[in-house]
Amino acid sequence: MKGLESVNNLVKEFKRLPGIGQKTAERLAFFVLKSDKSMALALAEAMISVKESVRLCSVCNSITEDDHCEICRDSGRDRDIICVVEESKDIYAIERSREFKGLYHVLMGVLAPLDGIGPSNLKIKELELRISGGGIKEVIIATNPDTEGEATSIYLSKVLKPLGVKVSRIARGLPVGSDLEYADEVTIMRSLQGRKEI
Amino acid sequence: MPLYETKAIVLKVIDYGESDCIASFFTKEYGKIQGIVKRVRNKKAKFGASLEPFTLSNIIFFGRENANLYNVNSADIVDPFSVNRDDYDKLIHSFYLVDLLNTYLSDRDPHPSLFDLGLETLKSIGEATGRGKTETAINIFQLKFLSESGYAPKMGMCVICGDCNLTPYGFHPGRGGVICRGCMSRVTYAIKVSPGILKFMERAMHGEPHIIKRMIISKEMNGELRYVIEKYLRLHTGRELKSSKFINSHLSSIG
Ligand SMILES: [Zn+2]
Ligand SMILES: [Zn+2]
Repeated sequence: MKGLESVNNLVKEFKRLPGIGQKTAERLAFFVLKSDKSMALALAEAMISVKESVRLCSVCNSITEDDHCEICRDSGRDRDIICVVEESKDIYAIERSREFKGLYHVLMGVLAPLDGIGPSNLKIKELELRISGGGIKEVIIATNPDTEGEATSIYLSKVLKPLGVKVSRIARGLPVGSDLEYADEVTIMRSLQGRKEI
Repeated sequence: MPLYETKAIVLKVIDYGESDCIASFFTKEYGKIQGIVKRVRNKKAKFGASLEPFTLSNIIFFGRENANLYNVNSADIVDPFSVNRDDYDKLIHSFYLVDLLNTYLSDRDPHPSLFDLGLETLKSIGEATGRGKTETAINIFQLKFLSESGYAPKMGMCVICGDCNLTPYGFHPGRGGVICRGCMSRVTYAIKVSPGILKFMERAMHGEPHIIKRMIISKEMNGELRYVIEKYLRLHTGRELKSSKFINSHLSSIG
């Protein structure tokens, strides 16, 4: 829109957000334009505060507003089992299941040979140090079941097993509620390999 | 718009926008092609593991002839090379193979025999029972790749003095070929390599497939060869393979 630099600018910034195209960005910009100034200030402040107060947990690299995250501080959790995930957001997915009561370790990515991301680019040394510190019995590797996640899992088992911990991998197979007929052969193969006696 | 159906080795997939991705494939008929796959991340089930690196998939795509970016309609697994994914050594060598093709091949430039050799090499990596076999397989593939893609180093005469009756003594990555003993002492940046390596290079590049298949070389020779090819490719293409540091650090860690 000609002569409306500030509106254009806001549209441009909204468009940077994931899933926001030109139309949605314009709608959002007009919404802000029509709302009270206090609403706009609250939005801007919330964004700035997230950037200023959120940091990484010094133990598990999960996002937190303190030095240690809530999970690492929680004395009710099993402290001898660590679940290794790629990103902080994976913790939220696992926590929703309420199945896991141990601690986490965020790798901050995954091994990606085609992008040149190697073991030294991830928080693997930190994980080794945590385990060497003692008190850990089991490490569950919960990286994604794609090629890079598998590569990371194989690499981790190679470096962690010599430290004397049990290393396990989350099961890979058919999603609950899906249809066998539409699953590809790799998924079915993994499901058969990971079958369980009932 | 024409619709194409072909077998393709998945080279690399990158996210594009919220739910789409751009995949590059190596096909027998059309060479390397790139295609946009719509809504792949919302409908993961439809594509499943068919777009994982170094999977052989049957793909259907459409677009203008000679398009830079096709539209990929479907991908179905033909061979997932599963055993290559269960072992770290096999995994990174397989990654290296697709990285080589993805980085150095031009789009829509068919190399049918390289496609066949690529599949055979992935299979050999999967079946390999020791480090020597994996490394030999990938080195043969690299050499065949050089001769197929127009990067073949000069092997018949000294690249410095032009002597044709030489006993090759070293390799000059910058000049792109072998050099004689006399020149070796006069130039810098040349790499001394064993005569066995030079013979192996020549055979792997120009030999018959059934002969190549039976060749196997020592750990030291594989290491020398990898070093020479890496230096040579980097100098002649100006590009480095991101996965090569993986191979190097992995191989040096296992000694
Ligand atoms: Zn923490
Ligand atoms: Zn010479």
